Amino acid sequence: MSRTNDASQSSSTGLAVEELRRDNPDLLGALVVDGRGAIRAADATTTGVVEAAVALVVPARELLDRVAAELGCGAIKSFVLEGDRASMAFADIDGSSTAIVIGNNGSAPGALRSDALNLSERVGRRGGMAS
Amino acid sequence: MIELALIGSALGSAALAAATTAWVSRGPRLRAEKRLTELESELTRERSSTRRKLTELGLVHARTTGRLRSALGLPPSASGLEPMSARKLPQALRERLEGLIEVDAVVVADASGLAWTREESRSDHALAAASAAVLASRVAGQGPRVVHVELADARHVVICPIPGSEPAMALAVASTSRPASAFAIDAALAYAAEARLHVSTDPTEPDPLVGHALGQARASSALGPQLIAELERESSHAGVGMLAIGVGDDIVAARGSDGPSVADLSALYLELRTLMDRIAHRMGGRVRRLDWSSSGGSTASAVSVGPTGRSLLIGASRAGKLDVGSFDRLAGRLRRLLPNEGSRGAQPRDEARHA
Repeated sequence: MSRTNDASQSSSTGLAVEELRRDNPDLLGALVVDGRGAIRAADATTTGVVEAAVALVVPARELLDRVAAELGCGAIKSFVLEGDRASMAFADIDGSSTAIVIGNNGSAPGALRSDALNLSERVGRRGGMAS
Repeated sequence: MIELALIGSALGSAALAAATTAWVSRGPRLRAEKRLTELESELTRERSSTRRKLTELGLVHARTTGRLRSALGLPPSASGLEPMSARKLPQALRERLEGLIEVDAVVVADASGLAWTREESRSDHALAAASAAVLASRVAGQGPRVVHVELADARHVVICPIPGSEPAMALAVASTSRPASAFAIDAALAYAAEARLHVSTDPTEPDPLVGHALGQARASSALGPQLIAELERESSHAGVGMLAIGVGDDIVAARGSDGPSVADLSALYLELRTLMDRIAHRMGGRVRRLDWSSSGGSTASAVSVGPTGRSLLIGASRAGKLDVGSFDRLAGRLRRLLPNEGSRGAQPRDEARHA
């Protein structure tokens, strides 16, 4: 099992990601991406899953922000993408940064969303994106 | 002639004997007939008295039911009600419960961990996710009737699967310092059953937590005899059916005369451990104690023996939750026996309890 650790893992954001993944077998990975698409912290069982998520999260976030605004939903707090092989949950941190968790097949969507909101809250509370 | 005389004498004797017997038995028969008549009239009186009592009981039952329904905030009669849709029920249930008691958060969530109630507090999503873990929990194929969790920071979470809900949903209530009132939760669940026109049925399956004796004390470690001695000492006066202690994924000692079967004991231990880990993760705090109550009315309780969380003491009892004091005392003694659990000492809250 390979393991990807961002250079900023020692930061508070990295700690929040690590804490979330600890003793949580449902999660394949967790990461925090800022508005420019830079990884602030990542911890995953495989490298590929993080790379794929990072490549898509910024355009997906932009698209969903626009859709939410056009439909009058207001600012996005979270969204869940439930697939038949894996699921992902995204949660806004500060209006531009996003907390992402990737769950394995069969993980409860609500639990994934809760993890994403927890990560977002922890990173926001610790001021993890201030750097 | 003599023969005829003998025959005549015999016939006369028989007639005399018959007449005598009739005369003698007539008295008891008359008394018996009289007694029979008395008994029949007594029976008639009893029948009419019983009918009157039944009518009175029916009236008392109707009055009591009416008072209870009124106390629970239910309409006087269930007849003529339209079933509430699964979409409306969760919010209505939450409002009903919040009208009865003051708690930190109430959530109705489904098995995927998504809340069906509006998210009003920051912990709502965590409660919803914890509800999914409880809904997935099984011991011998049976789900719990209610799960109560006490966290190390004095928060309490009570999660009850809602009987007859479709899709499967659970009511989760978070409070501080004490668990939410069982009466209020039962009232809310009664309201849910009423709203969905669900008729509860008596459990027909055997209770997985009780009914079996551990024939021989089980011990799979060098500490086994000492641990079993402690378990025996405590179980003799704590009123528990079974006590067991596990380290990691294995039970190291177990003792009891009325607990789960040997096959179910390991499954119960692992289920309680997994549930404690999941709820701790969801609620963001260490679980101090977890009570898993079956639909049959018995309860299995689990408490972390030491600060590492590796050792777990579990017990099962027919009479509801296990006594907190006895459980804590035993956990304290076991903590000193188990390696890696005693060195860091008890938590401040535990110390306060022991004092």
